[in-house]
Amino acid sequence: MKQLANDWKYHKMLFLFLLPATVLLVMFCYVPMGGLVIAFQDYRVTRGITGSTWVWLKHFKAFFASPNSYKILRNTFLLNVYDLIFGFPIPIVFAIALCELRGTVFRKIIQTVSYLPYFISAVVVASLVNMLFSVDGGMVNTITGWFGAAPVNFLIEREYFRGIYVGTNIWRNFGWSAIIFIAAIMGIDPQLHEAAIVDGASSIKRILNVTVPGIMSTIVVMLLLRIGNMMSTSFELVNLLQRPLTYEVSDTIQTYIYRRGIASAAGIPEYSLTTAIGLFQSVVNTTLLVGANAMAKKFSESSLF
Amino acid sequence: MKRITAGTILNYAFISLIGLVTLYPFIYILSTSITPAKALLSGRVLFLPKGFDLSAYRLMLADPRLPRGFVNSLKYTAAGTLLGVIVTVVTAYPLAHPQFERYAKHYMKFVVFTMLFSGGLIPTFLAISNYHLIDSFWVMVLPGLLSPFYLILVRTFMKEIPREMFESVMLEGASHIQALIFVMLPLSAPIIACVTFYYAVAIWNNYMTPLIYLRSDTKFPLQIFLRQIVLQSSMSDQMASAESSSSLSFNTEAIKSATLVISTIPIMIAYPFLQKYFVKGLMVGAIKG
Repeated sequence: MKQLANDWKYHKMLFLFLLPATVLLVMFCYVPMGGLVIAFQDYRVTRGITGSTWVWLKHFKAFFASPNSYKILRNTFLLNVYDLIFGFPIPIVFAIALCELRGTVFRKIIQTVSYLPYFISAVVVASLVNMLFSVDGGMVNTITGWFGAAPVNFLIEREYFRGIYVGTNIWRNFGWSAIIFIAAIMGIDPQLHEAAIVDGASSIKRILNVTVPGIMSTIVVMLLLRIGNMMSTSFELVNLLQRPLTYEVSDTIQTYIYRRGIASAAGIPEYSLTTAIGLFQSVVNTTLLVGANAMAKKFSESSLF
Repeated sequence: MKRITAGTILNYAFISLIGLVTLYPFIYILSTSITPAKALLSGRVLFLPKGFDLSAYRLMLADPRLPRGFVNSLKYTAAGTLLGVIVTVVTAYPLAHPQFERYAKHYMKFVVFTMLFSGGLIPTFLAISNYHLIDSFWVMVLPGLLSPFYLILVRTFMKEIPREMFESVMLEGASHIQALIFVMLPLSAPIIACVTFYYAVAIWNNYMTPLIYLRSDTKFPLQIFLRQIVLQSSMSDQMASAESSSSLSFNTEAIKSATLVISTIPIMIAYPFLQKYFVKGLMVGAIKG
């Protein structure tokens, strides 16, 4: 206590510097966390949190009893599973292949190009997808047309949504995700490579026995952190790519909350129900993240926090 | 010297293919946007433009929503980036200061907790309504002003600065404000540059915040207008069957492309100069143990 009084006296400024951040975090993070209590109420805006009636688990029960819960949980989870299966290995393969082209200008150019999509807005990305897959002369339909296929309106057909979403996500993120693997590969002692070459190892053998083991800990950590995000999807991209006709496969927890809670067509936004769903998602997310981080710490010195 | 083997050639082909796939959508919209409407009628562009015609750009600029959206986006980006960087640096300074170590640890828990757990969409929306920020300029700026991730980046960087620096500045009798502005700011320039660009890109590209919190046309940023323009034409896509597509819909295709090109240009121009900073930031974040 004496220490605090002393520090306050001599370093008042240091405490004051934290004031804006504290106000912002309280206003936009901690107050909303407190607002989660409305998940247990029949919240009415006019009555406020203190005046609304407490219904405890009613909304959770209602949500899990409705067929929508299964649908949006499945969609959220499946989009992540596909993104993990197809999206996780690509940056690694790309990083290894790129690093085999040691020291060329070409390599630099390709690497710079590869993470350009990461900085393009979701709206532009979704628009590009719209145009390329357009039923009305888009590139994909033009090419399938050469082989005699009838034009398909890919964006309103259920069976294509997941593929389009995952493909778009991979296109957008692979270059950025690869940076960390490229750095890890660069960190491998070059003598190991030289020794392998002297021993007469082929490129493939050298990659499997030197490069891959050298970046294994990075791979494991990135994989764990990816798994920590298994219950969240990019709201923006899903919202932009989905159409009412594809809701069956494209509706995720977040887009569902948005539609029922904010952009509600029925008129009355269901604040309490959607908050309950959001709370459920937050709890699962936090559990996964904390778990993944603890595992990552075990595997290596690095962790997210 | 490396021998040229089949593997090397295959690798070059693979990498070139990836580069092409990455760039293709950009080439496609650029080509579509400058192809004359007549040429688009007889079949779409696949790769190279069929002719050269800037009328799509002229038509696009005739739509008053676009210049307005552009100006709005610039305002949000300028205000949000400037204030965001100031708050981040001012917060990172005490958290990296050797004299403040025993408090920094606890304060970081307060910060990191918000990365792990959040109130979610609806409680945040209700809180922001209570602050009367719905449909205001500041809703585009304030909620994202302090990003825990960027704060960690700047703090990690500042912590690498030798503690003797902090001590000698204090011994000379400088105040914390002077120390921050004249010593820490120049020393942290690389990471501040990086965070500045992160903020700018995040605000420029933001679609979710205006979608949820803005209501009036006059306040919409570029991204919302882009979305409206694309929606309009995808509606016409759904109505027009393959044969009966009118010249109008081909024209909207060119206008749409032109709009996408224009909205991407600020990032495209800045990108080659800034990309090394982007990467630097990621590495600082990753190396942090």
